[in-house]
Amino acid sequence: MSQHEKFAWGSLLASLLVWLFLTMRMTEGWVFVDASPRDMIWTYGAVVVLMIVAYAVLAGVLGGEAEKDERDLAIAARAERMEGVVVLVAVNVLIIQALAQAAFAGQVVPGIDLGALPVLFYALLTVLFLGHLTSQAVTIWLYRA
Amino acid sequence: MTGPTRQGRVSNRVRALREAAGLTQAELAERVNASRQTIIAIEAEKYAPSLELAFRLAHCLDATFEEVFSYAD
Repeated sequence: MSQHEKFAWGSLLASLLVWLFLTMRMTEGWVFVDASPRDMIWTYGAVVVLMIVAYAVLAGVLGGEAEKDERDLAIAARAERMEGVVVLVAVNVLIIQALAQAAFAGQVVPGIDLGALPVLFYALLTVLFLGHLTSQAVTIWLYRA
Repeated sequence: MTGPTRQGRVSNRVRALREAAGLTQAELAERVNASRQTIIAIEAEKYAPSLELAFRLAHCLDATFEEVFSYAD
């Protein structure tokens, strides 16, 4: 297993754990909590710090990031393209949800009220995590394919 | 096509020529400025190298491009 693949595994697991932390902060069971803007600023800061710490630990454990050769760069480029596609689709789903919610009485996805700041905050951060998780998963898959 | 590719389209004799030259995968990788994993992927025909890397491999293995790589339609 190359160092880049190990890094992708570590990044995937760390991102998943940080996203679970975000989910636990923003939900209670299957319902969104009515978090205040100050709480969300704290949560946002904690998510950023946790990701930075996770990457620092990963870099320390793996002894820094190794130089990428052409196959590593080709794999990284494909993974980033897939991440872009996933983020594009997810953002469009949010746009459609927001517009449908405003235009019609019902909601496209029940229980997801993008008019509420905590839900919007969680949805946008989840889109970022989804993109990153996709990128790492595609990286692992391409190294193993 | 450069990059991860369908197995069998671009075939090569890298492993045979490398072994004939008495090189390990790590030694060949160092000489062509690639990782050992990339050499493994090329030998397994899971990755088709760029033209530049292909020519470097041929040069290191003291062979012509055509002796190392072939393409099946």
